[in-house]
Amino acid sequence: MSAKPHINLIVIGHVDHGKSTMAGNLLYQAGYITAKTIDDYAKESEQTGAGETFKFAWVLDSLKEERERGVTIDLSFQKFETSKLFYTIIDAPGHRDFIKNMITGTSQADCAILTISSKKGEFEVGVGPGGQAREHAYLARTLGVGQIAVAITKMDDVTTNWSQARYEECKKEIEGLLKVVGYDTSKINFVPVSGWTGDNLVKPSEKMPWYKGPTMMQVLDSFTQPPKPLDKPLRIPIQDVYTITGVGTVPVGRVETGVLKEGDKIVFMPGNVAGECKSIETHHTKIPVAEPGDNIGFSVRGVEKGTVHRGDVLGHPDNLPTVAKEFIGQIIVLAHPTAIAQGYTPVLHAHTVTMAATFTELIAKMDPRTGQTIEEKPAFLKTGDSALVKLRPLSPIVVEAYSHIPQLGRFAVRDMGNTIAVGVVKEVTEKA
Amino acid sequence: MAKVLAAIKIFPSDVSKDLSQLKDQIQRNLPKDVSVLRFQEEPIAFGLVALIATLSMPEEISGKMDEIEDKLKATEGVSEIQVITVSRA
Ligand SMILES: Nc1nc2c(ncn2[C@@H]2O[C@H](COP(=O)(O)OP(=O)(O)OP(=O)(O)O)[C@@H](O)[C@H]2O)c(=O)[nH]1
Ligand SMILES: [Mg+2]
Repeated sequence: MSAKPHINLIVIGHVDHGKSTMAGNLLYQAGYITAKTIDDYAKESEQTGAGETFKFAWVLDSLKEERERGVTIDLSFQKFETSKLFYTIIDAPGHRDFIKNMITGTSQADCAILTISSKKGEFEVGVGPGGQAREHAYLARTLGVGQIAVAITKMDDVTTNWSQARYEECKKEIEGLLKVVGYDTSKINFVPVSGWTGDNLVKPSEKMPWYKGPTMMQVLDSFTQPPKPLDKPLRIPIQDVYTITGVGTVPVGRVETGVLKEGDKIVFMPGNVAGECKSIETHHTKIPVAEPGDNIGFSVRGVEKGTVHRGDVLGHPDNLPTVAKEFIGQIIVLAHPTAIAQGYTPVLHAHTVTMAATFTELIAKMDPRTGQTIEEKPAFLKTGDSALVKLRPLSPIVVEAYSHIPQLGRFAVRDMGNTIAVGVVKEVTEKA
Repeated sequence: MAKVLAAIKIFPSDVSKDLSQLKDQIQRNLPKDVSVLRFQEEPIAFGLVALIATLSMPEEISGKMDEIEDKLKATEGVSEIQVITVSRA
């Protein structure tokens, strides 16, 4: 493994807007794929009658097939290296089924490229109601991705024809939607590119002399590894609990925030089970201190087996994990077959906890374009709506205000196998 | 058809669980259209070793990930599972 800092990059955007083509061409231009490989794909692509259209997208597909055959085992997830950083690329699945896993997955994205096509019609669909540009921007924000860049793609398309005016038009619209979900757009790079011709990926484009900003590769290099949240209160969502002969009770989990030290007094919430951390191990090695990102097991004194479970959260007695009887969530409804009304009780997924929860109040509906309240106490919510709602888990669970501890402040709402909504905790209104 | 990769950590029911046997059981229990690209063993603490399975599945079939999670949890010798990450292949 490379000694460079490691960082997870998520590529998001509407279906067919050119994510794979751009990523494939970037890998090519960065020297990860030979010209011969690209030519082979161009030929393959032509044989299917698609012309050369898919040659770059197929680079990623073919690596995938190699992976499936087990040829290049270490390429399970696509890796990529710049002069400064070592990347793992996460290509966000388009199917909503996987959103829950993105929200509760332990390996979170550190930075994102939002890919939006400038092509006439495509752009309007992507950023429009139900378009994935908005949905994915919200998802990135919910996932706590602090660093985001926008690739405005297909600048070579005949309807765009490298036009600065079209770029500005697209940029303005995207700025609007990123602002609404909470990004400071003055810090975001908008790069006009063609994944197809490679303009502005690695080399500055001669077709777009009006653009003075960084290339996509320079943008990637400007991303940094986010600092570990060491100064936040200790939070470890429990993944499993073991009883080990000669050791005793051993909870297992990933440190999300704060620091756990050997000898610390600890409390598991919501059960309010107190004890002491005797010793900590990771990779079978004893460590005196565990930090965010560490996957650990630790032995505890004074904690009976059966009193601690998956879904509990460990903290320190002087800063206990917040146990919510009821909280206000800011949600976006991704897909609901009919409408959500007060009393609706789907299942909530947050960190390692799964719990049924009732929508006890629909507080307000917001305009997804401006974030302004457009309706107080709406009677129902439909697909595409963004809203403030009160949620009451059937039993109290640990969650934190997103503004305080984002790692424990995001959730997915599921019902009958569908992801209905995603959201963040605004405020815990009733504590246990 | 697009494929999705998922890295899933699998906790054995017991520290002394035979992991090669567990891998076989998991392979056998997974839906037919899901393949295990690899298993890695992650030593955690006090002799406990978790498995990390990298799975490949079709993206478009709704409920595939739920089915996988259910099948894994129902596999004898599996205690809990924890999804690490998902991505398009
Ligand atoms: N003209 C032009 N066409 C492009 C460009 N990038 C992608 N395309 C075409 O747009 C189509 C979709 O490209 P992909 O890269 O597969 O898009 P994607 O976003 O990965 O699509 P999904 O993975 O299905 O969501 C293909 O026909 C590409 O050849 C570009 O920069 N210019
Ligand atoms: Mg793609």
